[in-house]
Amino acid sequence: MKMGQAADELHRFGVKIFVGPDVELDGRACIPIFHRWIQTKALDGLLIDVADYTHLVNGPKVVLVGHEGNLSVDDGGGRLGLMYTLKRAPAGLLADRLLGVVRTVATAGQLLESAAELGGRVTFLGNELAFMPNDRLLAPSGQVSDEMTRPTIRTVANRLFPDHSYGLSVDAVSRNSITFTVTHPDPLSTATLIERASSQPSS
Amino acid sequence: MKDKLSWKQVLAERMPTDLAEEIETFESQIALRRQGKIGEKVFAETRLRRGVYGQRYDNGQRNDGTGAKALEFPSNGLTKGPDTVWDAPGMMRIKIPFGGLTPDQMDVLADLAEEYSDEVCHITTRQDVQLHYVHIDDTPDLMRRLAGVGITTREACGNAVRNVTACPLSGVCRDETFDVTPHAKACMRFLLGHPDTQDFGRKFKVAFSGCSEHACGLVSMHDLGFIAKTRVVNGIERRGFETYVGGGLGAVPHQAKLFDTFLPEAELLPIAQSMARVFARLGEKKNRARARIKFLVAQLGIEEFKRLVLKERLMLSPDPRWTAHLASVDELIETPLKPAPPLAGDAVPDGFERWRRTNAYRQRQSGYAVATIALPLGDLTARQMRTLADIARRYVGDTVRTTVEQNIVLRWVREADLAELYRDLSAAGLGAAGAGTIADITACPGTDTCKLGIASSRGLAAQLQTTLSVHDGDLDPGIEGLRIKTSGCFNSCGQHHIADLGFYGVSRTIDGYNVPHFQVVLGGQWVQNAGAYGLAVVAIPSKRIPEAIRRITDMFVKERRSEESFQAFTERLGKRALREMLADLTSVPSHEQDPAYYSDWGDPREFTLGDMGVGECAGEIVSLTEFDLAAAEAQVFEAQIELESEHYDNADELAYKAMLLAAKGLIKTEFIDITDDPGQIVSEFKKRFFDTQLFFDKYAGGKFAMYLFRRHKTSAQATTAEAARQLIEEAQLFLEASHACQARLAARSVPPVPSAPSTKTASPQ
Repeated sequence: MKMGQAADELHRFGVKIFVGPDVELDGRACIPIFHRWIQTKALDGLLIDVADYTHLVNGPKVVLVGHEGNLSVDDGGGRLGLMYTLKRAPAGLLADRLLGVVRTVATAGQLLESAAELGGRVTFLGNELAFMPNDRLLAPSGQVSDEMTRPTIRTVANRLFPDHSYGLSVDAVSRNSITFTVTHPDPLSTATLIERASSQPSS
Repeated sequence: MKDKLSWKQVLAERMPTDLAEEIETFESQIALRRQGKIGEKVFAETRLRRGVYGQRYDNGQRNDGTGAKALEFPSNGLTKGPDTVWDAPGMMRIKIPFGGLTPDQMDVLADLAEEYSDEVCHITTRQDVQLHYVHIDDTPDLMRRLAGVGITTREACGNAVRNVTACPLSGVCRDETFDVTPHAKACMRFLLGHPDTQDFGRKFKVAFSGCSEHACGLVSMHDLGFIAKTRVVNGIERRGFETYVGGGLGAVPHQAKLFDTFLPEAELLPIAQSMARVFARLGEKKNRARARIKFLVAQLGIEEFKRLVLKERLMLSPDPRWTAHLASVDELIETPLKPAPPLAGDAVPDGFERWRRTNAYRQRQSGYAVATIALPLGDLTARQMRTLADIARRYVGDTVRTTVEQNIVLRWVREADLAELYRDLSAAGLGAAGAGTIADITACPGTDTCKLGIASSRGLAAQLQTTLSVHDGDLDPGIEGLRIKTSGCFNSCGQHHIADLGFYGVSRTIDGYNVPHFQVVLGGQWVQNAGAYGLAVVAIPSKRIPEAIRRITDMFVKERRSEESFQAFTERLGKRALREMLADLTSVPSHEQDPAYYSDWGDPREFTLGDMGVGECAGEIVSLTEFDLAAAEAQVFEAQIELESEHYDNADELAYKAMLLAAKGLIKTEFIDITDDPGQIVSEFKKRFFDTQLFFDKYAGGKFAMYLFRRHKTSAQATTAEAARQLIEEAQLFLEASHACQARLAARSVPPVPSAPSTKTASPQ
């Protein structure tokens, strides 16, 4: 199986955006918001329930459990942010799936930024994204996964940052999932991130 | 076209053949169920026996706070059991025999939590690991990856021998008679999949303890329990076990009965096998509510049960596995990763001394300690699990165990390494002090994920943990050592019966609204292998439980006599006084005054057991019912007082009358002229509520009604303490079922009408 084909088999991965500097995101305050999103079907896909893990650190704090994937307020790796972990999706190109997840997590971020309960105090950085393959069969941490996944990550990053002046770093050494971090020097709003993730069809 | 890469292929060489074949079979059964070639009931038991469990909302319905809504799973009508939608996420229970884990196994658990679950590993009260929100299609690969590191999920659920538990200090304990680990391991291997354990009417739980005095093994609350004993025979010290059978918590708890004061170790497995055969042959199969072995033992009496087991033993053909493990018992003893150097007296990090006091246990082996990782609500994230695996590799190797208090212990830590270990644990968010204290709260999943949960046991536990952690280190020593355990319902998965302060979720109806409550259970005994079970004192709104705890503990500090235990204190004070002290906490402000009472801890949705409401007409009738239910509660309480006073006949009579009164209250919703004649009450109740199934619990069916019918049939006779106690437990459950039935009746009416500001009391006595 060629590398590109293997990458396109990858359905389980997470995409994380981070809160801005000095921003506190209280997981408990997100619980009623997530419940409301279930009522209003605020995000794509089937939203099922809310799991409260605010008593934990280095991982999910509150999870909005869905059928296709989970959205969580997450402080894994010591950085607070919002992560969407895709679990199942239709066949297709990995780049399309990644862009779809970027749209979902950025939309959730945008909704939290405007949530009355959070008083407009929460902002997310649209110019920094972490991509984490979550399938140790297809993408175990290490060089093979790096080589397999990096081209697709670049494709996605090129769409999100059309001037191509972003940086791409890879943590393939840690015993946690291999993590690709894409960072652009200029600030970017969640609205623009959604727009860019939605704008161009894959080919 | 090349085959797709698969875990089956990758792990082919690493999985034990028998496990690989079983998983293959299960995967085929999944395929057959998809094709409709296996019935849903058969498939349900099949998956349960492999640890694949249902979870809340898996019927495709969920109340989102505005009403019951359909969850539109793409299952196309496919089910994985009765009323259980295929695509609904479920729970995966992973058996960890005697809680023993290696770092490699922990790594795999972390990976599985990340890939198939919600990135959280949960330690259960029976030393298992549970993953939630798992899709059934992922379970075969999940099982393969576990099999690759020697773990099976087989018989983790279903009517089978569940995880074999053991004291997590076995082998390093200062007080144990001997290390029971090799025997627990052999027992697990022998009974797993054994032909004689495949035809039970209900589950069967086995536990081992190294001593009688401490709690660790909880032998008294198990179907089959073994306590290590030695005896000198012909001048040689022999190992054996004090053996107990027929214990269990659940809705109606039973203390296990002594089967043998000294069962030689060579007889352990054949006797367990003989018991399994007797249980399979004579145990109840149709009525799940009476199918645990405790009912068979109670029905036959321990002497007759023992006679049958010993007779069965004589008929067994010898099996070399009975004793194969004995030759290597002494070789299986753990060895430390590193030799123990003398203590260096280096500077220690902040918080270390406090942590060491509560979380480190000095082993009997000089220079070594057991370090407890106190896990909040039994949870740790996948990343934490992976980090903990690395820490284990660095400090102790393969000597990690889970505990029945939902913690993890690292054994064989060099005392000289404790400070450094504490630093590493703290960096991973795993350095919380307070293991085994009042702040180390046990909680079952409750309404978070369990289908049977009534109230949020985890929400309450989290709230209590937060409240108590504020006093970290400066609690009165008498309070610090108390145990709090919470269950989401009466089934006692959170082991509330054996806590100093136990709580289980119930519901009360106020002005047409359901209000989450917890029954306060006092008098349980954690030590002496769960030596005594507590009884419910009063139901208090969930939001007032922290205040109830504050009052009880304050009173204990103030009025405790010398070294009096909490159990002795509550017994001396008496339940009446305790109930009176808490009486004002039973009141609930109206919905308009304080809607917070009408939602549960950690869940902003309005609390509900289903769509509900009450109209004016029904309201009048319901209020009559409520009156009777409240009076019935008072009678159950009086029964407890009589039990305490050793007036067993009175206790029995009062418990029976309480059930009659509750039944009468329900009958009034249809037949206002019901008399006080027990015969008429039972007959009308049966006709109107049992035969129509109106009284039936969604999961327990009509079992609670049977408690009344059975007692009604029994003519007055001398009652034993145990029988009276059981009837009181049954009456309490009958009452809870009556409250639930009342709520369902009210729900048939119109939506709730906001009431004028007032304070309502659920149980006005």
